[in-house]
Amino acid sequence: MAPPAIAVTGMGCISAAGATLAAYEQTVTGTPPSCAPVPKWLFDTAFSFPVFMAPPDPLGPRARQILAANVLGLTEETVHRTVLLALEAAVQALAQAGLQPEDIRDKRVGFSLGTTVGCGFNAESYYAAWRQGKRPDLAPVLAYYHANISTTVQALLGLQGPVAVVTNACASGTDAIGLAKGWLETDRCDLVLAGGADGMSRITCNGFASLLLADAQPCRPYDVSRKGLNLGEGAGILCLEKEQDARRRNAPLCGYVRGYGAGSDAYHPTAPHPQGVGMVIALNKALATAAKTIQDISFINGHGTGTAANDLAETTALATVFGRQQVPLISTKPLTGHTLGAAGGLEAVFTLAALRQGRVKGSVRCLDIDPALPYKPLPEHAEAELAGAVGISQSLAFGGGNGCLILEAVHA
Amino acid sequence: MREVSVLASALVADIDFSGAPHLLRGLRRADPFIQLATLAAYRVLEESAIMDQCQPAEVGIYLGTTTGPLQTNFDFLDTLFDDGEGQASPTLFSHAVHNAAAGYVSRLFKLQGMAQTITLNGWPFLAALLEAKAALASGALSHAVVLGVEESCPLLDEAAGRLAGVQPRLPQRGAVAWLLAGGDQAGPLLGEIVVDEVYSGEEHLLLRHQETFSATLDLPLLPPGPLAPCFSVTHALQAIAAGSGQGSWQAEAPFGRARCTFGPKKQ
Repeated sequence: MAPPAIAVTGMGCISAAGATLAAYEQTVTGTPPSCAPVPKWLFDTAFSFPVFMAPPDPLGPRARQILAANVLGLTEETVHRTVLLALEAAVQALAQAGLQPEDIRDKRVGFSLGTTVGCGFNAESYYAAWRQGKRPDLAPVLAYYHANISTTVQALLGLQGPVAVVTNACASGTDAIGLAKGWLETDRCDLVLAGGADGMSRITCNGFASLLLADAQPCRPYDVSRKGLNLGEGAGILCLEKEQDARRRNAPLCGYVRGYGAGSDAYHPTAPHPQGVGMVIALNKALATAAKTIQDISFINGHGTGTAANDLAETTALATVFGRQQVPLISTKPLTGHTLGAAGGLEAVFTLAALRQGRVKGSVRCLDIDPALPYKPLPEHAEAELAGAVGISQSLAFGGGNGCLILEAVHA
Repeated sequence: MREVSVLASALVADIDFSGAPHLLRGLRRADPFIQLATLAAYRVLEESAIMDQCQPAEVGIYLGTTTGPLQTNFDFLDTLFDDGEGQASPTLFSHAVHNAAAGYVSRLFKLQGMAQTITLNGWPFLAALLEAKAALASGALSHAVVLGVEESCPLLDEAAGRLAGVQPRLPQRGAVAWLLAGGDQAGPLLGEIVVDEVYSGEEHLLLRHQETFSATLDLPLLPPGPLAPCFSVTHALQAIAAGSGQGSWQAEAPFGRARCTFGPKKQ
């Protein structure tokens, strides 16, 4: 028996490109957001590279109400910023799906969310004191256990069902959506909130600086002058249901998760395989599970970080799979920065949004396409009508992980 | 859906590469978390000798952990504090991400299927096992190496001791690996896996003193901690595999329950 179709009934997102999906769609057609050094209100740092920040106060009215009413005793001050970003995106996704948390308390509601920063121990001052032999108050250690975004957001919303936090570095959000698709296909739950979230962290900023992967200028994916990535923060979450369940309750249909594939480079701890072998495996598996061919694909939202190695490996993989067929390829990271574990979630939302619009604008600041890239992206001043409703959102990660989603839009 | 069998299992409590010195060159920058994962994976792959029969893209890696390589995260912070911003260690940063171990296992054993790392407070190894089983049952993969890896962290050990009002708990680190195969293979069949994890008070997660294990046969008593369920369910599997091949294991705690059933054994 064929697995059930997995429908997207809601989408939530928050990033530098906008605090909601509507705000993001305005950003795409308007002025790109600016990036700047990490603001003082977040943390003090000598890291001077520009970053893309979500709004300082990430919670909208409904999410704030939920946090204020929570029975867990958590507050904005005691909850990690990654959890707040995830909560906001989850609430947005549920709202678009026409659901309030109280409507689905009797359902099995899974949470499959990806993160990197959210699972780390970020209380630097505690560790600084502890390593000097002091024994500070344990509150930061206890708060560390509340930073598990899936269990904590699920509990804040008063919901029950399977949980997973996918920690596959920069592919976490994409892989979390793939995992959620499997949960619904095997009837482990009725509905899943799936995607990713990551807040800005001083540890991550310094980590990417140490690897010489951060650009001192705004990032320029696929451009010949690209020098690296800009970090960002945010959350992107899809509300997923079996299509038959969504239709039964007359839910709005945004689209479908048609396919998912993953593959490993087996090559290097941080660098992608130059031929993108893991990405080729992921693309082919995703197409196979979606029962689609490359002729069905009308748009590719690339990983496009702006590092020399990523963009080359990614476009090499695309050229291997697509051959001479060229469909529009863009990166949305010039609008959000690289949001790490959130990237796959945000970019799945953005991919469906573009497919629903039926047209796409080129990658911001990609003015002079790198001639060494075997697959040519859409440059900044170009626009393309999309030939169909099916597209790809893909992610590459440290550790050689690669994930690919095949998404299909239902036109608005 | 296909049946899923357990071809091999391994428990690793010490980092000892005397049986596999050829792996050391590829591990010269690896932290203990990665070394534990590699040793456990090596033991099941070596025991089963399956790699000659497998397509690399059809072999997946599923790793579950509660805190990942947290000590490496602190080692990175040491370089940040001691050497200053801009001087932090790139090697420690890249090894502090939770999926670094899966990346090493993929590279050292040339496994190119899905590499999935799951971080959960309660039973991440069981969650990884559940995902691997689903992938194999659907035919998405032919084999999967499923790992449970925990690294001791003095900061958490001290905090647990302080919270419980006793001496810091003894450091515990280790790993388990199960090699799973889809289709008609020898070995105990993997039956139902249930992981019901719920939000819980942080003291339950840090101390884990109210977590209990039971099985259809006797289990060794294990000190509480995130490694205990990994070792306990693997002890249960190995005892069941040595016998009838049928049985079950379960865990109960304030943060939920987990259960795994086996059998019957295929010849």
